[in-house]
Amino acid sequence: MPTIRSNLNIPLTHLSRIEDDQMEAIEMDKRSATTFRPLCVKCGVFGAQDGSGYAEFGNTRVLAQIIGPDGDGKWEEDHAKITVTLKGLENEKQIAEYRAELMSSASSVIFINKYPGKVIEIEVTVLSDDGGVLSAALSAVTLALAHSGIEHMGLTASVHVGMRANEDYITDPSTSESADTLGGVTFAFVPNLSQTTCVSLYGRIPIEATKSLLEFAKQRAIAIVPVLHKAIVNSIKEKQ
Amino acid sequence: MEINLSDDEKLFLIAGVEADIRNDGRSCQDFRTIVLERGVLSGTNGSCRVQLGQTTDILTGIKLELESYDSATEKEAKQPMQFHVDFSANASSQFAGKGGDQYGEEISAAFQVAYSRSLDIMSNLSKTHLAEGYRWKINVDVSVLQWAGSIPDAISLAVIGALSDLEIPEVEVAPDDGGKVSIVLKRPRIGGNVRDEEVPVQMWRLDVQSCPLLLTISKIGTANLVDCSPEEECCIRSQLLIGIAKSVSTPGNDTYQTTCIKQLGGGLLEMESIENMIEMAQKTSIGLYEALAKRLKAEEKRKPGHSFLL
Repeated sequence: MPTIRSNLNIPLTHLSRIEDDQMEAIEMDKRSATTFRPLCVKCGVFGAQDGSGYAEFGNTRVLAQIIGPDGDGKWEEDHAKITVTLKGLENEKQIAEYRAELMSSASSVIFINKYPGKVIEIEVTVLSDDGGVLSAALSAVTLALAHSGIEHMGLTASVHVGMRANEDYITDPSTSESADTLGGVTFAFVPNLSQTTCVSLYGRIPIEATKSLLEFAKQRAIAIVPVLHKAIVNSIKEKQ
Repeated sequence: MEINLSDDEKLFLIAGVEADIRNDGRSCQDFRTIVLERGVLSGTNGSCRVQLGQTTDILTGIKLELESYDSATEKEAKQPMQFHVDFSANASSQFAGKGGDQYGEEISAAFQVAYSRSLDIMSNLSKTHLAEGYRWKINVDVSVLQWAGSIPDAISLAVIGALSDLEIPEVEVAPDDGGKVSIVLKRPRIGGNVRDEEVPVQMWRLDVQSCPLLLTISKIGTANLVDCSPEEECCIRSQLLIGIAKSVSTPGNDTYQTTCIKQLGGGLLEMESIENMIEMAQKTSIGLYEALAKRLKAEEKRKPGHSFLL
């Protein structure tokens, strides 16, 4: 029986954890406040699903799959129903929190009125969690949406930013890097509309500093847009 | 209770709030009447009932639990409060069966986030840590009895009310053999012919003046609103859940901190609107903190066991 290799292969050695200090040594001497961890995004991972996407920020790896739009025989409203399931996190509170954000973000960009009586299932699997899961999940979902061809308003660029006590920022902190932060924010927005789909702030940020933190997050989110574009262009090339 | 508004009714409502006049006569930044009662449940260590606009009704009870944890694996002090929100099917038919479970989980997760740094924010919360490996766990259980909009706002008031009502026993920690400790309730010594068990245990209370508030600010048309009624909730374009904590480190000169912002329920927002909504939340929280402090001071204690249901 012939075996066909899928177009995606990640060598097992690459899945092993890279220590933070080692990672910095590979990339550059020290990560500046505005650089991301080494990242990898992919639009279209499997062929079997209607859409799939993968996002990797440092040691955080998230896979998103979309099944649908399909009729499930029960849903008969004049718009599509979107469901989000999140797997791979231990903390149930965290699952509920992230699921709400993912749901809100996805439903705000998808044109649900174009799919009456259909169900769009979004399945997010967290393969490993090292900080910034929500932002990685949002990136993976937006790539999966692009891959699925479901009509939506546009790409969502998302970023996780932390803030330290002396008001300096850190882009995309890992779990160990965010240990000494005051708080942080996961920020997602649609660049071509310049509107936000997700703001998720935590910690204790002085109210005066909130505005500049969001502004910084927006700038960092803009920086990630070309990477997402490239991933989508690559997936189209592969198709051809 | 399900609300179905026609397009014309929605247009009327939206045009109204944009002109700062709501259907019930309030302006955009007004709350409905708030009723707050404490000590309503006798089976809890602290309880509170909050009614918003005569319809939204929230019952909060707190139970204390002496928890032992592994101090080797848990290096950083964990915040002792655990939230659980439960929607009664009596509140609205949409919560029947498992209908309210997901929403309840989401709200309790939001409260968990808003209170995640409460050890730094609330001045004497660290007293719940008794000894190496032992602490009080504060279980906050919220039941939504009636639903008429603005559930998170009402819950956050009820949580603060219940926390202020919460009595935590004073304990004496004595070293025991094997590196362990024994924890004994502290009773004041009074002379005479009284048995030790009959002397009431000393209690202490939490300082709640900087407890985080969780407010919903909703965008309808171009206006930002607090405390939406169910009709208004049908017209919401997008909503922010904003947690604000007052820090009272310098008396008379309060500073405010955001402990949580969440964009929920779908919808898109401009950056500028977000800033305006945060500003509005801060303004609202000032008034709400004041009203709450006044009420907590003035409220008469109920007899334990005499609930509002009687």
